[in-house]
Amino acid sequence: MMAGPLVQRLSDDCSFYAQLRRPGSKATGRSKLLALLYSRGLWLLLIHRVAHVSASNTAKPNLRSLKWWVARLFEGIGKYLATVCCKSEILEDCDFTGNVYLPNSGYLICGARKVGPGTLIHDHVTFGHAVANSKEGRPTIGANVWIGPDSIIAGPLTIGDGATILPGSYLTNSVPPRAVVKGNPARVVRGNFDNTALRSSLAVVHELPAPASHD
Amino acid sequence: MIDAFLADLQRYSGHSHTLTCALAVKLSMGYHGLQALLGYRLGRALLLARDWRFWLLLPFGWLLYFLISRYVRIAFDIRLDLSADIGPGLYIGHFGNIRVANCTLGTHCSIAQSVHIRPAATGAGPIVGDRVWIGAHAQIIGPHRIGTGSTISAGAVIQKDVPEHSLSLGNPARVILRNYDNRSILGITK
Repeated sequence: MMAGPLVQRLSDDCSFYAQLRRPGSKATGRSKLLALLYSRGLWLLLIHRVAHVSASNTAKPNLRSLKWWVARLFEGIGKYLATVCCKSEILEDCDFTGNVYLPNSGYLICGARKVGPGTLIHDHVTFGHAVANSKEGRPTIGANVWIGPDSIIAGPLTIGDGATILPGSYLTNSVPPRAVVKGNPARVVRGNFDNTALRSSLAVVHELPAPASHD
Repeated sequence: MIDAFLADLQRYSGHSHTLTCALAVKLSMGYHGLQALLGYRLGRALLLARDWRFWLLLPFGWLLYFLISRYVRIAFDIRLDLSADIGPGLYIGHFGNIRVANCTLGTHCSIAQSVHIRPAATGAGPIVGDRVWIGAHAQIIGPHRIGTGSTISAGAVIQKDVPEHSLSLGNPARVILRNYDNRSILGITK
């Protein structure tokens, strides 16, 4: 079927989590295995990748095909495990291109359309449709975004590459690249912030460090 | 209590289908909110049972209540405490981090994930009116009154009373719209 690329993809995800658990170290086979055992977010990601692949391959209902039934069975079990173990729910057609960190504490409700590579999503985050805003649609997350815990991101908005969403923000408008957003309702707090240091570990910050003075 | 649970089922079935037993079972197996409400309505019925003919069934009833409510609490983290008085027709949008305790909820409310409706460390709990739509991650903590038909937007942290038919948003919550009709998002047309 699609086993080869899928296994490679899962191995890359394990490396990503291993490097996040111990910032600055190389991902060995042993650290990848430890990451797999200890990270519930990684289980959630693996379940979602399997469900995503099987959903895209078996979109048309075909009750005669054994492959279709096996896919549905795995999807059903996976979705139940994700709900009970990780308290999370990710829509099947949400496309995680590349490495992404899903929260180990869970409570992620993800209705996003697409999430770019290198993004970190922390716990208690909701990506949803906007309702009271009279704009309905699903958000699109760019690459290298850092999303802090307890955030709500709703509506047909786009989060630019390298943006930072501080914890506790409620976002309904698009975010330009490398911007820092905070608050409920969310406002851009800083226009140009490099979040590479934030994204290299699992630490959570609630305020940004003061901007360095430019020479 | 059976009427209350039937009203809950009606919220999930969309009001356009007639409620048959098969539909009720199918909905209960699919929706976590209904499983939580089943436990809650059973517990409230047991708590308020006065007829002596039911007393023999009470131990089995309490066992069933504990099984259902512990399962829902551990698996989905929805806690509908028996100290809360929830009117019929509650719709629980998503699972996860839902705490409803020591409060009064009116009929046909809607709550979503990560909603806390509970008293502060000491004191009375909130009193929520009918047909209130409470968005995700909202916090109503303390003895506040939420008016009938109002809408609490996602992420709002309520710190004072909310008037009827209004739309509140933000942390701390401010009323940003008065006379906001939330029947379309509640899914109730009548």
